[in-house]
Amino acid sequence: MEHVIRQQTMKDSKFGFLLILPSLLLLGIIVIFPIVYVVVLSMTIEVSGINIWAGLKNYKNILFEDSKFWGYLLNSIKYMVFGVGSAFIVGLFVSMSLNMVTHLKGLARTVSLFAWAVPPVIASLMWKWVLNDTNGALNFIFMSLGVLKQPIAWLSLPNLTMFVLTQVHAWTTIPFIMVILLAGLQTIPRELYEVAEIDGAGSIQKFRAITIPMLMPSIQSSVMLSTIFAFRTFDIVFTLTGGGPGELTEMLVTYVYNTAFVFGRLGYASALSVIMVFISMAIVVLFVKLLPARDQ
Amino acid sequence: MKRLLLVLMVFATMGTAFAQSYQSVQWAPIVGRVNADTYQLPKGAKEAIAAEGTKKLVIYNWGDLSFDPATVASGKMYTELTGVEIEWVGTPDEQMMPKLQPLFMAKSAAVDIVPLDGTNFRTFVSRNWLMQVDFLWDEATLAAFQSGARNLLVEGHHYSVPQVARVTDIMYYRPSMLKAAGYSAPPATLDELAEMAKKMTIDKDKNGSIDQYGYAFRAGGVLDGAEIIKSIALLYGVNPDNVNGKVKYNDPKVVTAVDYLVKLKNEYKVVPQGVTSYQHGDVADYFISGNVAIVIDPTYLYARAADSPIKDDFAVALAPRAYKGGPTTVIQNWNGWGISSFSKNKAAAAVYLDMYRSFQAQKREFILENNEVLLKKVYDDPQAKQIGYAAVLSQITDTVIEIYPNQGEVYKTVIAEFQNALIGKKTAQAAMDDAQAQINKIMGY
Repeated sequence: MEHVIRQQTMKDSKFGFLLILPSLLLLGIIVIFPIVYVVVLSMTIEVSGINIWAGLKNYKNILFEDSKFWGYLLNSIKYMVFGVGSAFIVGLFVSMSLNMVTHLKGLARTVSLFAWAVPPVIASLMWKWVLNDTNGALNFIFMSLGVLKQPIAWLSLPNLTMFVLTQVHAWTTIPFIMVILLAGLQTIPRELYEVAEIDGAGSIQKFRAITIPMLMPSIQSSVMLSTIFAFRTFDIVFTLTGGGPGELTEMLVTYVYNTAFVFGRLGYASALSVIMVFISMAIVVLFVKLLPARDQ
Repeated sequence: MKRLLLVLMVFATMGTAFAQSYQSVQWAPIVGRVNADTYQLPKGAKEAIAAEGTKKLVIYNWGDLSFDPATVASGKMYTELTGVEIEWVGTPDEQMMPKLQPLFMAKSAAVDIVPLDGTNFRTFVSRNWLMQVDFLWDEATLAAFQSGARNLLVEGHHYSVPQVARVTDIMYYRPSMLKAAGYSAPPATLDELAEMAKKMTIDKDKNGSIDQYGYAFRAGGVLDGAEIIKSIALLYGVNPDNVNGKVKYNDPKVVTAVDYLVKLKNEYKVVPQGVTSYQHGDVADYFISGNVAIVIDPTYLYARAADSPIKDDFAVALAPRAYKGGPTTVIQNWNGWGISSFSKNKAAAAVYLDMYRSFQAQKREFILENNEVLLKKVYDDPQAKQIGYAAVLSQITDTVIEIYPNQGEVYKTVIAEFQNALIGKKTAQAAMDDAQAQINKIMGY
C-alpha cells in the first residue's frame, strides 16, 4: 500500500514539475539570465569601449581602494535606519489607531493608504516643491504659524538634508508598514486583552506583553522588506538632492546609476550591484536573527 | 552542395545591397541642399529607402513630444517626403541611458535614431554604437555651421548631425525691481551684478525673512553645476574643459569664478540658500514666480517668461562680463541625432539626419521652440530676427561646445566639490584642488 502511495506521489510530482516547466524556463530567461549576465559583466573592465575580462579586480577595487564606496554605504545605512525607523514608529501608531476605529473604518484606512498610491517619482517631485526654500509650502506653513522666523533650505543644509530625505522616505513607507501591522493586529485574539485586564494589566503592560510579541512576525516582515526597499530607493534621492550637497546624501544606489549611466563603466557598476545584492541578503539574515518570528 | 552555394550567394548579394543602400544615395552637393529654403531629398534617397524596405523609423526623443512641436513638425515633413512613418519614443532625460544602453549592448535593431548630448555622445562613439556619417558632411557644409560643429568630430569622423544648440547664458532681469533700487540698466560686469544684487535683496515686510533675492543660480544638477562654473570662468577668459588641451578646474581663473559664486551665497547672501538643490528649470521657475531680480539662464526661459505672469515686466541682456571689455563667450548645450550601428534602416535614418540639419528644420527649432541652432543661415532669416532675444545673441562674440570622454564623471566630481564650497565645508581653492586631483585620475593625467 505504502509503495503504491509513493509511486502515485512520484507521478504527481513529475506531473507538477511538467506543469511548472514553462514558467521555470521563462523565469530562467527573464530573471536568471540577466543575473548571470550582470555577474559576468562585473568581472570585466572597459578598455577603449570594449569590455575585457578582469576577474575579481572590480571587487578588489571597490572593497579595498574605493573610499567612496564605504562613504556611500554609510549614507545608505543612515538612510535605512532613520527612514525605516521613523516609518515604523508612525506606522505602528497609525495601525493601532486604525485597529481601534469603529466608525468610517473603510474611509480611514483608504485615506491612510494615500501616500502608497502616489508613484515614487511623483511623490519626490511633490516633496521637492513642498521643501523649496523660497516658495515651498513647508516654510510657508511654519512661518505663518510663527514656528520659523526665516525659511530653511531643507535640501541644502549639511546637517539637515539627510534627515529630511529619510522623513520623505518614511512618508512613502508608512502605509506599507501600517497595512502589514494592521493585518497582524487583527489576528491577536481579543480574549488575551480581556484576560490581561482581569489580571489588572495596564495599557503599557498589555502592549509589551501581548501586542509586541504577538505582532513580531508582522514586525519582522514589514521592517525587513522596508529596509531592503530603503536600501535600493533611488527616486527620492535622485530627484530631491542628486546626492548633494557635496556627497552628503550620495547612496550606493545612486553610485551604481552614476557609474553605469553617467560614467559609462558598466563592469564596475555591475560589481557594485552584485555587492548590493549580498548586502540585501545580509539584511535579511540580520533581521531573521535579530527579530525571530516567535511561535504564537 | 551547389544548392548551398547558391543560397549563400543570394544571401551575400542581399547583404551587399542592404549594406550599400545609403551609399547609393547621391548626397552631394550637400551644402546647397542644407541651405535651401525648402528642403529637397537627395537624389536616389527614395530608391535606397525602398531597397532596404523601410516603412517605419523608431526615434528616441529627450522628453515628451508635446514639448517639442518643432521636432514633431519636422518629423511630419520627413514622412511626407519619404513615406516613412516615425515612431517616437519620448523618454525622460534620466531614463535615456538606462534604456538605450541595454538596447545597444544587445545589438538590438529596435531603435534607429538616438538623441545625443554631451553626456552620452562620446560613450556611444567609443563603443561603436553609432554609425559613421562622414558621407553627410564636407568642408563647405561644415563651414555653413557655427564653429562648435567642428568639436563634434571624433578622430576626424562624423557620427552625428546637430539638432539644437542652446545658448546657456543670457541675463533675464525685472526692470521694475531695478528701477525700485535706483538702476536704469542691467549690470554690465560681475562686480556690478554683485553690488546690484545686494541692493535688490530685500526683506520687504521687515519680518526677518528675505522676500526678494537679487540673484539666483543653479548648482544642483551634474551638468548645471559644472556649467555655471564654466560659464563664469569663460567670462574671465579661460575654458576649464580645455586649458592647453587639458581639463583644469583649479586654474586660478576658475577658482576666482567659484569664489565669486560662493561669496554671492555665503558672504553677500544675495542668492537663496537652497541653490545647491536648484537644477535646470528650478531657476526658471523661481524667476517666473516673481521673487528674484536677475538670473542668468538658458534661452529656453525666454518663451516661458513671455507666457507667464511677469510677461510685461522682464527684459533680457547679455550676461555681465567679468571686467570691462572682457570676453562674452558663452557655452552652447548641443543636442544631436545619431544612427544606431544596429539599425536595419540606415538609408532612411541617414535621410532623416540630412533633413533635420537643413535650413527648414533648423529654422523651425528656432522659431517654434526658441532653441538656438548651429546653422548660420537661420539667423539671417527675417523671422529669426524678430525673436525677442535676437539682439542679445548678436552681441555674443564666441560660443563653446566642448565634448570629451569621461565628461560626465568629471562634471559629477566638479559639482560635488563646488557644493562643498557653497556649503562652507571647503574654500573655493581647496574644493577645486580636490576636484582636480580626482579629475587627474579620471582623465589619466
